[in-house]
Order: sequence, then C-alpha cells, then structure tokens
Amino acid sequence: MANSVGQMQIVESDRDQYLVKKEPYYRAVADEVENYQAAYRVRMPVMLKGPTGCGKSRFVEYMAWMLQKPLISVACTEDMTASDLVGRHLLDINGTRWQDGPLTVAARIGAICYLDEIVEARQDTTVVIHPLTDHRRELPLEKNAELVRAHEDFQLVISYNPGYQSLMKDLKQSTKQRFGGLDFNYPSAAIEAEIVAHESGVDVEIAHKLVQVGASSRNLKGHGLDEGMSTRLLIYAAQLIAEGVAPAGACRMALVTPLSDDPDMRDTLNAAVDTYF
Amino acid sequence: MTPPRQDPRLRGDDTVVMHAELAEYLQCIDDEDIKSGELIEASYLDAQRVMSPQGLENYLVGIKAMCTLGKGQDLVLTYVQEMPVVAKEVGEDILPDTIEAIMKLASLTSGAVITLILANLPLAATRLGDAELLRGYLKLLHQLAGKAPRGLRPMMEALSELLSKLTLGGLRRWAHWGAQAYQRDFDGLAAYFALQTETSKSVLQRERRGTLFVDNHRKLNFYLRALWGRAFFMRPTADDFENRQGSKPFIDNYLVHLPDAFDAVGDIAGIDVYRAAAAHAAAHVVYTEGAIESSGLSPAQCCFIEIFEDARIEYLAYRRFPGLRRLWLGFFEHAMEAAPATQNATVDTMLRLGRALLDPDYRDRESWLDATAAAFRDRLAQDAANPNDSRRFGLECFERVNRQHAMRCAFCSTR
Ligand SMILES: Nc1ncnc2c1ncn2[C@@H]1O[C@H](COP(=O)(O)OP(=O)(O)OP(=O)(O)O)[C@@H](O)[C@H]1O
Ligand SMILES: [Mg+2]
Repeated sequence: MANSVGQMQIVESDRDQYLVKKEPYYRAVADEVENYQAAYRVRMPVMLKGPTGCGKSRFVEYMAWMLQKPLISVACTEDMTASDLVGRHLLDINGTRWQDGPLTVAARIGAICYLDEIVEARQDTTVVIHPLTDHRRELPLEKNAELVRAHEDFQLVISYNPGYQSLMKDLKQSTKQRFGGLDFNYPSAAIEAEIVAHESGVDVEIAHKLVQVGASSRNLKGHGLDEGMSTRLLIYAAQLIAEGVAPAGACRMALVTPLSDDPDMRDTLNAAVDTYF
Repeated sequence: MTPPRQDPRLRGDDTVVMHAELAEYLQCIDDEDIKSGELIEASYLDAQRVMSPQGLENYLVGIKAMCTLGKGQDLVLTYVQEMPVVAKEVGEDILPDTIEAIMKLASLTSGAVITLILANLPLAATRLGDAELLRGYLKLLHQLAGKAPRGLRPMMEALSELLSKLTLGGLRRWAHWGAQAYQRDFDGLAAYFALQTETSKSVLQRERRGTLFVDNHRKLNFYLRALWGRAFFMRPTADDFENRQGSKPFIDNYLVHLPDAFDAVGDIAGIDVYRAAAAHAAAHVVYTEGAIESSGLSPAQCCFIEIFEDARIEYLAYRRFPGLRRLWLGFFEHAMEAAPATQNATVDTMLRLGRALLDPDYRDRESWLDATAAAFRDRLAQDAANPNDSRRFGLECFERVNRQHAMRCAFCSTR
C-alpha cells in the first residue's frame, strides 16, 4: 500500500501542473459554453466536431480554465498504440516500473482528457476508452493488474474533423455513441473578425477583409479545395500584417501558399485577395 | 427474333466479348484483326459511358457511314476510337455534324487525310472547348479541302501548336492567308501549312491572341465561385473573325458568353480582362431581377440605360468586393487615354459617363456629367435594388446629350 500512497502523492502534485492558469481568450459563438457545462455536470463524454483551426482546442482550454479542472491533451496519431494512452512497464535500475499513460493520469487526478483528432488513431487503440466512457467510468490496466476507477472530476473530450472522414478512417458506432456532440464551424463573419482582430492586434476593418477572403476560399471547398482557410490561418495572415507585411504578401504567405498546390487555384485565391485589399 | 450475328473472331477468346449490336455495325472491319477488336471494345465502353442512348445510336450509325466511304479500315477505327473522346469534350450533339462533315470531306480529299483529321479531332475539341466552335472548325476544314487540299495534312501535323496559340478566328485567318498566298505553289503551300516558313510563323504571331478562354476556364470558374459561392456557366464565343476584337460578352439564359480570347488592355493582363468581364457578367446574373421595360425605346436610349444599369450592378458587386471597382476602373482609364480626340462625341460622352459613375474622384470637363454621376451614386447609396432608376437616369441623360450633339448613335458598346 505504501507504493500506492506514494503514487497518490505524485499524482496530487501533478494536478497543479495541468491546470490552465491564465484565462484563455475564447469568444463564444453560440451556446456551446452552457451546453458544455451541462455535459460536464453529468460527466458526459463530449466530442467536438469541426474543421481544422476553428477553435476546438481553444474551447477545451477555456472550459478547463472555467471549471478549474486540469487538462491533459493528447494528439492522436496513426501509430499510437493503446499503451501510449494507458501506460506501460519501463525498465530502470530497480527493475521494471509501471508508468501511467496520459489517459490513466487524467483518470486518476480527475482531469479533462482531450484526445485531439481521434480518428487518426487505429480502432483497436480507441476501444480502450470504452470502459471510461460509460457508466463504469473505470480503466482496466491489464498489464499492471490494476483497475483504475476514474476520479469524480474526470471527463473525456475528443475532437473529430468530419471532413477527413473516409471509409478507412471513421469512428466505430460503438465509440461515437458514447459521446454528446458539439458542432463547431467557422464563426459568423462579425465574430470571426473580432477573434482575428483580438488574436493579432490588427484593426477590425482589416480583420473583416481577411474574414471575407476566408469566406471566398470556403466557397471553393469541394470545388477544387479540400478545405477552406481556417480561422487559424486568418490569424496568421493578420499577425503578419501586424508585423508590417503588406496585406497581399501576408495573404499569399499565410492563406494561399499553405492551402493549395494547384496553380490555377492559387492564382484564383490571390485574385480573390485582390478583390478585398 | 433472329439471334444477333456472332462475329467468329470473338468466339473462343473470352477477353474479347463484343457487344452484339456493335458487331452489326462493324462488318467492314477485317475479321482476322483481333487487336482492333480489343480497341473497338474499349472505345465502345467509353462511348457507353459518355453518351446517351440516342448519342450511342448516332455513334454506331457513324461507324456504318465511315465503312461506306470505302476509304480504309484505319479511318473507321480512328473514328471508333476518337469520337467518344470528342463527345466527352464538347457533348454528343457534335456527332451528326462530324459525320456529315467527314462525308463531305470524303469527296475532296484522301482517306489518309481524313484519318488524320479524325485523329486530331479530340485535340481540336479540347482546345476549342465548345461544340459551336468545333462546328466552325469543321467548316474551316471543308473550305480548305476545297481551296487548299494539300494544306490539310501538314496543318494536321502542326495542329497542336496552332491551337495552343490561336483561336478559331485566328486559325481561319492564318489558313486563309496561306491558301490565298500559295494558290499555285504546292511546295510553298505545304511548307506554310506545316508552319515551316518564316511567313507562316509571322502570320501566326500576328494572329496570336494574348489569353485564350480555354486556358483560363477553370480559373474563372474558381474565381466566380469564390466570390459568389455558386456556379456560373460560361461559354466561349468566336466572333473575332471579321474583327479581331470580337464582340462584347453577353448573357443569354444565365449562360455567360465570353470571347474565346482577350488581348491585354494596357497594363491589364489577359486573365484580368477575363476576370473583369466574367465578374461583370456574373454581377448582371446575380443582381438583375426583372428586365427593364424597353419597348418603344431607340437603341441609343437603351445604350444610355445600359450605362446606368451597368453602374448599378457594378456598384452592388464592388460594395461586396471592393477590388472589383479598381479592376473595372482600369478599363475606363485605359480607354480614355487611348481614345483619339476625334472619337464620336456621343461615344466619348458615354465613356466619360461610365467612368464618372464608377469613380467619385473623377472630374469631367462638363459639370452636368459629374453632377449626374453624383446624383446616381447618391441614389444607389440609398437604394441600389431598383433597375427603374437606371431607366430614368438613362433616359434623362439621353435627352440631354441628344439635344447637345444631335446625336447619331452608331453603336452601343462603351467597352
Ligand atoms: N471562438 C474562438 N475564440 C477565440 N479564439 C478562437 C476561436 N475560434 C478560433 N480561435 C482562434 O483560432 C485558432 C485555432 O483554433 P484551434 O487551435 O482551437 O483550432 P482546432 O479547431 O483545435 O483545430 P485543429 O482541428 O486543427 O486542431 C486559435 O488559436 C484561436 O486563436
Ligand atoms: Mg486542435
């Protein structure tokens, strides 16, 4: 038991390190904050759906701050294994030692665990979250012969980009149906301009033009572009402008070049930039 | 019902299972030629993919027609192979026209040349990009077969280069020039049509247009969709035969017709000329709700109404896309610099009026013109949705100018 007490102490001191200390800037778009709070009160697992760079990660940080809960984020990748989430035995001078993975730590300390871009992970990896996301709220560590009961503050959040969805990469129904979902999208023009201005320091007028450039690229989604310009890219462009780069050049660098390799498309996007600046 | 005739070459080789209906039409093809059997089969599958039942029927009838020409198996096989590609490029309605054109050519030129023409038809279809233009091309070939039959073969060999640089109008002028100049000089004719003489190259250069529609169609589609978030249908028109400038873009039934080529206008590159024209046309499509009542009006009156109506829809567009104003303004600036002082006074007034409407900073030498433009812009700022304002302003303006110039409006294009 001494061991487990020791572990508890480490875990307790770790809790602090995962707290979001400073209030993140988050501009609510609809009633997502209230809805999330309600979901958290009943510890409902939540999935955030939406295109890249539209504010999902920022939202989770903000909610963690607001609820004063630790936040542990994991970027999921294709070659991630269940052990990367749950933990594994490590070898050191004293022999083997169990090392918790991020999911296990989150379950023990009562953190919000954010699995970013969950579809990237293989399905045999994602199933480890199942017992944590139903009434059981527990995590069996088979290799450690331990059953971790989730701390009462623990909550699981995943993010998910429906655009990337393909036959190969999709969540199983049995995974999907363990979550409540919040739809994210690019905010309406006025709000997006406010966000871009806030994050970059450019004035709202420039931010508004950037948002319109973004909107024209989003018109081309599915018609030559896989995805329109994200809020994140618009902020990049604005940051360059704030650094003194001329708008056309800033847009080329931050908005056009990253988005497409198709010369016709790039030419068109540059022309679209010119219709606003 | 009699069972369809089974072609013996198809039996026993299950990789080549010919459609019965196809075999019916292919009676002139050598029975031993298994290789062409595979080719035919593949082409037929393509045809089925791109054609309607009616189109397929025309295609098959065409095969029979090619057989009846008696100009060799190659010609038939080339037809079989290339027509699905042509139909895919410009639509299957071109099939009957093509068959008819080939039949007519058959009395004027050899099977080998016709085969070459067929082999190059997909290229022509791709480059011209439109059925109407391809019809014009077939007509040109027919004229040449009469006037300069020996030019056809070398011309087919140079076709890829020719069509990468010329519009249909340019190709016509280039070909007629050669046919005329080398009427009695067979070697000279062949060299000209093969693009092997300096003269030939310099005529090509002269006829070359800056920017071709077909090279920019995709970009223009992207552009209009980026701005308005919807599709616009665009087609090239070939009106640049008589007059190099071609005609003004126009809209017919939501279809935007743009010239098949534009030259640069001053500093404005060809692609930007296209963008300006396409955006202007799109603005008409988007912002024009009802037609303006024009019965009983003279063409000159309509011209003036059109100037204000253009200004109105352009205003609505550049209110959303400010860069468009700058783009459009460039054309007025260029036209005013380039216009000779001797220009028809009414046309000159129209040009200045268009400029003043688009450009609040512009100051005209006639103060009424500035005042009219300012009044119309004020009107637009209050309510830009009403085309009757264009009508009212246009007619008032017409009256004034009419009194002033006792005008004769010969033509109505300001741009
Ligand atoms: N509603 C918002 N309030 C404040 N900032 C926002 C908002 N939406 C987007 N942003 C800004 O956009 C940037 C990108 O958002 P974020 O990183 O959260 O995207 P994401 O949806 O997590 O993207 P990805 O799927 O690529 O991870 C943020 O850094 C933030 O600056
Ligand atoms: Mg993220």
